[in-house]
Amino acid sequence: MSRQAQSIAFLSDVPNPFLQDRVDSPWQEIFYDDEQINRTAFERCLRDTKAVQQVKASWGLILHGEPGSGKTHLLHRLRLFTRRDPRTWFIYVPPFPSPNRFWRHLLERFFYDVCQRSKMSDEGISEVGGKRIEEGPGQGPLTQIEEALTRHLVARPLDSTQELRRHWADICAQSPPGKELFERLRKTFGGLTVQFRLDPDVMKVLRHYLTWHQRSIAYAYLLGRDLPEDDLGLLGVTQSLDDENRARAAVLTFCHLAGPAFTIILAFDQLEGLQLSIEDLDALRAYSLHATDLIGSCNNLLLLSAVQTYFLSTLQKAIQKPFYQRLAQSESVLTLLSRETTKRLVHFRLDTIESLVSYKKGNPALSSLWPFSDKEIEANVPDGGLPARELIRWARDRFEELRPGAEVLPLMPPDIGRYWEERLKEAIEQPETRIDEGVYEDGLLKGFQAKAFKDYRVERGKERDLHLLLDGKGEKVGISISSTENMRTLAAHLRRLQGLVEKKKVTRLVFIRDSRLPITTTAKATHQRLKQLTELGMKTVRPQAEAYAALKVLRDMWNKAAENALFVGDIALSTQALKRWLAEETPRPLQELVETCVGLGGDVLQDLPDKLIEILTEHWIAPLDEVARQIEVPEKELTQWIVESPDIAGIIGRPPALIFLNPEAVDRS
Amino acid sequence: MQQKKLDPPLNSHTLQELEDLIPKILSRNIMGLPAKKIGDSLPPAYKRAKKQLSAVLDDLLAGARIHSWQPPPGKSKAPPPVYSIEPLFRVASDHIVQMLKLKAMSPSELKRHFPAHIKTNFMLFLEPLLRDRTVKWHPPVGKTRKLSLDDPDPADFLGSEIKKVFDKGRRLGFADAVIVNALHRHSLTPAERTTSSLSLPEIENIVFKAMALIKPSASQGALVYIPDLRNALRTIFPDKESFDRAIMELARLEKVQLQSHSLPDSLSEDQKATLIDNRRGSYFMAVGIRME
Repeated sequence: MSRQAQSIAFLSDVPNPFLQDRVDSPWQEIFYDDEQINRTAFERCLRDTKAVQQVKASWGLILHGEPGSGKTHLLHRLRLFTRRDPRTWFIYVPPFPSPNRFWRHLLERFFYDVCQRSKMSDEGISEVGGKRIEEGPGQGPLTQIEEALTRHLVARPLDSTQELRRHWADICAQSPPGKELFERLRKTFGGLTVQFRLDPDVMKVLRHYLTWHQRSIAYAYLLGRDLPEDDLGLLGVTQSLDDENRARAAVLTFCHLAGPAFTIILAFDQLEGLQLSIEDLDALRAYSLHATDLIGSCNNLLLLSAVQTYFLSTLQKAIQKPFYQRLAQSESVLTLLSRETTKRLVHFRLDTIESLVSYKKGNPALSSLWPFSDKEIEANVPDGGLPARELIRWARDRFEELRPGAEVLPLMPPDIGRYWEERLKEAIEQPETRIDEGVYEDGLLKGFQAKAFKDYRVERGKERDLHLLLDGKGEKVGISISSTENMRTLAAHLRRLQGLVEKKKVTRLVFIRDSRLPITTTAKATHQRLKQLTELGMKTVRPQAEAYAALKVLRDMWNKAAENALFVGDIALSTQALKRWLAEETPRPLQELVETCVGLGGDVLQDLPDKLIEILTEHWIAPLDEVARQIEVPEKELTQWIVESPDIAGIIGRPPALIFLNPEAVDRS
Repeated sequence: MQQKKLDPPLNSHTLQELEDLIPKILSRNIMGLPAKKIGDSLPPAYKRAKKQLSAVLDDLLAGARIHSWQPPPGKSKAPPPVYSIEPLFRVASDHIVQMLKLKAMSPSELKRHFPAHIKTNFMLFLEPLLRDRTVKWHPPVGKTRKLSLDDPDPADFLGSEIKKVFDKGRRLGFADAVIVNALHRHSLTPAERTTSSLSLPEIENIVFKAMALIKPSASQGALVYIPDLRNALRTIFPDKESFDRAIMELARLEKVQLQSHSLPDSLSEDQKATLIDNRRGSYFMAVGIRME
């Protein structure tokens, strides 16, 4: 066998180093990075980060580039930088679901990234270095909030994360987790609350969370869930954070708690996803308003807006000039690859495969770019430059072609249906920590945009509690969504809806409440209101988990398409192509939900989930026929409903069949 | 019969001395002398009749020990030749250059530094220097034009006009750099305004300066919208093709990066015309100086 043939044969067992062609999130675990590429853009970000610390004033930075040029990649690099820099936090913010939910969305992101993630390790909180560790305060990797708190508590702002982890473990070891530790830290938390003028309720719940006292309720509170009064009572607070003003106060508390010596890098990504259509500027305006408010209210933020270059003109058009100038105090531009940097990137990726590096060492005649040639790499670069993603996709395919016996596969049309099903399955399997009204609102709006119903115009509702308005056929259908777990709040919500009907703001109402959120039978006022509204013609829709997951997938695909980053196979789908597919091949859960909203869907067993949860919460398992008798539904119909609603209950065995409650229907902690 | 007094015949010794003496006299008169003046400058013992002197000068010329220059004929009769150690043209040219090195002078000022036989024919000596641009005419100040080795500096002649332009420009709110750019654009002839007359470094210089004027951070890699740049350089690249060609040439040499529009279908035909076709289904919409 010739030397060349030997080399080609060697390739058959070498993993393809170009398989990862995109970074979906800065928290993604596998990350290949050559720091020389886009060095200028990164240095701009670092300069601005340092400037915030030095000048003690927040700063707005626009990060932009062509699709695939590495915006999220650069954010990932920036996030890794915060691991080395003791004075930084990193928070990643994907598009918020509606103009009225900016602060609640931001609070959720703060909670996930600051309270749940460690700077040092992306491993699960229960594992360090692959070893399982005991759960509890002071155990496991230090989260960003624990790190910041420890700096304050031990007054050693420049200690390394490892040293701080030891300090925090020592603090937590002084009292047993739970009530004792919670009480022990009361004074220090109180001191910080006064010193930095923080929201006392948020600080109290944060103390609960960090000391593992009522931790699961504190978790739900800090995520922004509207909790039942009993739960709020256990935390010692009176109101949830499910309100824009209160969520804002909580976000500012996190920012101020970090202190002036810290820089919080707040990265808003995929801003293109804030638009429903080219004309829709509402969410962009809301973004500019709230983001500049944030810059003005804190002195330690680097507020980074990541967009595609073409979108800058849209942003300028949507936003008032002073706001734009505030958000774009400086700009960091991603550079398209030149002939030299394409070779550098290919070389870097090839070097990630150890066996390939060793093979080349043993065969000095092979160039560093083998199995590629300089010329074929350079030939890819058009005048003007090449986005990194395009190069990596080319290299991935070329690498496969070069393997012995490689077959060139014909380019297949994108199978969007399959892509959808795979994403939907993932979304359904993912545990739900918070059922977000914003997902329903934004997902439905997008669904209606794609699946346009003849004679109906859909817009965001302008009245409180009225999320969508369908205008057409001589009627105004108001869609209201509630995910509150607090029955008093729900009753108040329904009372306001009643007012809207009475004032003829709408001619028909649709009330959406996820089937996993029960309305307890003891909530008399709520039931009374529901009954009255039903008499006034309101239709209650209780979507299944599948419908919620479908809306999440829809939003995710939409945001990616807006960013030109929705790849199905090797084809990038535009928003228009996605809309077309949604209109022609509307997935079933989406179709059912939108049809139900416009009154085309079949009757829904509205209160069935509540009744089932009510009966089964006590026993968890019961004979099917007995349950059917209790809720006055024919056995066959109940069986059918349960089969279609696995997120509420399931059936075991054949006659006599048993029905059991799905624990996820009542627990989201 | 009284015999006419004749010069004594030159013996070989005396002739040799005279042939040495004449170059010495001429070397003290670098601009040369006519035969009469040479005879006048000889010591009495060596004075000779005109004919004899001419014979000696001819011998010296034949031996290339001296040079002669015959001035062009005047109105009445031909002027006598001028003898010199060095060729008179070269000596006179060098002297003109030396004098002009000291300062710019009008021809009459310059003539004062030359003997009469050169003064009379001064333009004959000056002409070749003007032709090869060793010496330049400066624009007139009043009625006087001066000669100089340097190109005229517009600041010496347009000082008050330049001041007026800048004063007015500043009053209207223009930065000095913008006024300079406008003056530069104004100066170009239509022929010069086509890229064919601009070298690549010139194009790079013009484009980069214009980018920095539109957006100062462009020099650190910030992007400039192509329609804005096209507008700013309209006088230099008056047609779409010349602008597109210039930018694509800079891109080919990897001096700049070009970013494409992500939604080309959303662009109107008018908008497309202000961008550059990227030949891959979209349009370049922004240009940035490559920093890496």
